Amino acid sequence: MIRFERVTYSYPQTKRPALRDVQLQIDEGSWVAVLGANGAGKSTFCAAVAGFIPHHFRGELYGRVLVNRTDTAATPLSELVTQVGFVFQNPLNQFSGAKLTVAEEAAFGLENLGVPREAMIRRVEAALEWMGLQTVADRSPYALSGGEQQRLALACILVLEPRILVLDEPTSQLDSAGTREVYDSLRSLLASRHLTVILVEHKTEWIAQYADRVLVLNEGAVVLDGSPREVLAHADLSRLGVNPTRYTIAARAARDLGIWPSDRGLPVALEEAVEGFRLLQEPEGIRP
Amino acid sequence: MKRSFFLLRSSGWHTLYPLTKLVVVMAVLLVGLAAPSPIVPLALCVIVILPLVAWAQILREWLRASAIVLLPFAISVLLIQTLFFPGATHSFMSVGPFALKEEGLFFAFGTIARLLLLAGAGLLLLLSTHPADMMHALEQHGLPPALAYIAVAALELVPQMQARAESIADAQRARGLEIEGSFLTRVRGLVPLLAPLVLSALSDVDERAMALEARAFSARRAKTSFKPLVDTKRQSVIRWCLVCGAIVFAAAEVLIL
Repeated sequence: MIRFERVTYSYPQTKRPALRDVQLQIDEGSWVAVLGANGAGKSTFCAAVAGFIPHHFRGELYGRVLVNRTDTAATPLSELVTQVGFVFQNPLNQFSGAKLTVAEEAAFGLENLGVPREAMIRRVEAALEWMGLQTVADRSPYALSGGEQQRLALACILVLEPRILVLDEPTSQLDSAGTREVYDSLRSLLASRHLTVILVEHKTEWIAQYADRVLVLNEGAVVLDGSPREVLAHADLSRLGVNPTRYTIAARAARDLGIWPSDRGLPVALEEAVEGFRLLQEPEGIRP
Repeated sequence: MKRSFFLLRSSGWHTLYPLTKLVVVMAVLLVGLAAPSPIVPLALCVIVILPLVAWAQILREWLRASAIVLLPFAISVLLIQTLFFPGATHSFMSVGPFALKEEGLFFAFGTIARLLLLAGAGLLLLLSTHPADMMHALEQHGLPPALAYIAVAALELVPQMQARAESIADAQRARGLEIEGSFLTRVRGLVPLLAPLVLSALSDVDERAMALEARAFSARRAKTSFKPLVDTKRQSVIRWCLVCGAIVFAAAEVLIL
């Protein structure tokens, strides 16, 4: 469980807080998507969960971030990594640069923690299998496709067996196939290992499909918090710098034309949109 | 895209403990560079480094890399020293208004011989030693992990920077920038390549540091190794002999010769 207790944070030499009086709780096993315009505080929010604030970024921090009842400010980062795993946008920046194969790269964090070799081999094999990388274990990390590299970055964190995964735009450099690879891997992990996932993402169609809670940040404050259906169809979403899903946009345009009933909620996912438009074709659904 | 200097071979040299290879190379360098005569580094290159390169089965790659590293230095040293060696009195040839100096030629020969040993020995180590193994061996012998990582990762970042430079060059080429052709065209094309290369590398530094933290790099525990790394008593003895022998030789060279 993660709890933000009235957290306000400003980076060094800045006056405007990057996080503003954030108070919320994230339950174990949930998949939370974090949305917002550039500079809204999404990455800062993630850095606070993982303990990079205040351990890596100094600045001024008010309030507390608790991860499994542990105050992140009072716990060394090297201990937090076994509770919170952090995956960055660019997988290449996450590789150590000193390892030559996928398996060796995955083992880097365990070597740092002093895990015995036999246990290390077991955990590396398991993580590569979760991520579907067991067949490329002996290849160079740099010879993998974009989707595979991001899944390796995930495996490198999963070997540390954290209970919480924080992912900062992990699919921003991936095409649709690569994005699906990462999302499907995450979904199966969530189901099998009961992990908590916090994900910064701009691709709202994917969020509608996978997340079970959505936070929208604006100028460091949480301004929307609810289910994907509540948040992604919210009238203020575009004003907050977040693109609604294409299905919501289509249905909203239909509603503006008087085709979509104004008392019917807007769809956020493909299946809902298909069902909504199908209903319009039925006799009772046709508007004058 | 090749992202590492290391070449995997099934040679006896490859099976040596990384620190043994490092000590061999350092001992050769110490003896070679301490000698006042350029014949010593040249001889060491031929009778020690070259056979080790052949034993490591990396002769072709070593020759190619040595030529790439050494040729620009060798040519510039030769030209500058033979033309402009300070206080030189004997010239052996004249090319137009320029006189080629004998003293400069000898000095250039000495410098090139030492560079050849330096580059040859360094490349032998780089091409035949797994970077992670070297890092772990250095840590096992008391080097702080951060220093060991910097020493190894800095070298391994070179091919990664090459790859990044190539993608920036491709992007600039796609936008109509000429980076091929005459020497002047290539020099002109270098500026729009360098700025994004350096800036992007700098902007990655913070994320790389955080990524290392996220993988427990700062953990204050005894580290372990995924790859089994075996040191032997025999190699340890050889290392100490080499260290002592190299110091004695170097001291003798400095004091006697």
